[in-house]
Amino acid sequence: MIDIKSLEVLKTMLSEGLVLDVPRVDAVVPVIRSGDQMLFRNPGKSWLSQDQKERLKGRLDAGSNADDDDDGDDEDDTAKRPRNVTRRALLGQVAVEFGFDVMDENQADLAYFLDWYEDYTVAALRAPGIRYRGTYAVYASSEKTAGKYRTVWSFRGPQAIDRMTSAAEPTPAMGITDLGAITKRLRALADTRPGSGRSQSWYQPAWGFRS
Amino acid sequence: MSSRTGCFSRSPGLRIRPVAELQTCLVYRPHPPKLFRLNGSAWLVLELCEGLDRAQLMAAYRGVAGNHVSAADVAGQVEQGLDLLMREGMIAVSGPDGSARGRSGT
Repeated sequence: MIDIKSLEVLKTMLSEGLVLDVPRVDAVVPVIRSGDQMLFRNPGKSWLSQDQKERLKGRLDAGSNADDDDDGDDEDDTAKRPRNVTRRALLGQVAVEFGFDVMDENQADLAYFLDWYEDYTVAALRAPGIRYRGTYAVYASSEKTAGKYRTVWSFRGPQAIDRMTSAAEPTPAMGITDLGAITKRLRALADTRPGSGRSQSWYQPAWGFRS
Repeated sequence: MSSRTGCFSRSPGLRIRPVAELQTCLVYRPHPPKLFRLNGSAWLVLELCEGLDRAQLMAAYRGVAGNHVSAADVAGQVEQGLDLLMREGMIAVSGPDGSARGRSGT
C-alpha cells in the first residue's frame, strides 16, 4: 500500500522552504529510550558486527565488561592480568563529565563517528596525564536536562588540564590540532538548540583531595 | 548505476511515513524488513516512481521541485536518488519487455 498523501506533505514542505540537497538514504538503527528509562544493553549482544564487538570489548577495562567471567573473587585472576593495573578504582585526580544530547537525525552520525573517534583519541592522545574515558549513553538518570550522552575525561592534575585545553582549543596563532579538530567534530554533533540537555561536571576523589 | 531504460516503480508493500517536523520521511521495506530515513530529494524521487521512465521522472521532479533546485542539479539528484533507492530495494525497474529488475541490477 502506498500512502498517496505523503507526496502532498512533501509538496507542502517544499512550499514552506524545504531544501532539496543531495539525495540521502540512511538505515534507521532503533534507539530504545524513553525519558530517563533507557533499556540497558550488553554491548556484546548489540547490533554491532562481530568485529565491532571485539573492538568495543577491547576498549573496556578488564573486568568491567558484562561478558567477563571475572567476579572479583577468583584467586587465579592474578595469573591473567596484573592486579594493580586493572583494579585501580579512581579515574584520576580530576575527572570531567560532559553531558549532551544528540538530535535524532545525528544519531547515526554519532555512532559512526565514535567508532573511530575512540580508537583515534586513545592512539593520538600522547599528552601525559590525560585520558579519554569514553562516551556513554545514559540509560537511567534523575537529571532530566543533563543530556542523554556523557563524555568522560580524566586528568592527572591541573597541568594536564591546561595541556588538554591548549591541545583542544589552541590559540589562533597555533592553528588547529588533530585532536582539536575531532573534538570540535564531536561537539558539533551535540544538540545546541534551546532546551536541549547539556551539563558539565568536574570531580575530584573525595578522599585525600578535599580539605 | 540505475538502468538507462525501463520504467521505475516502488517495490510492493513499501510504507512511507512523513515526519514533517524533522523534514524527512521514514520508509519501511518489508522484504527483507528494514527501516530507512530519506531526505527530501530521495523522498521525492521515491514518490515519483509510479511507472515513469527516466525522462518522465526528470520532468516530474522538475515540476515538483520548481525553483527549489537548479535545472543543472535535477538530473544529478534524480540519478543519485534512483541509484540509492534501487540499491536498497525500494524501487524496481521494468524493462522494455516488462521484466522486472531490482536491487541486483540484473
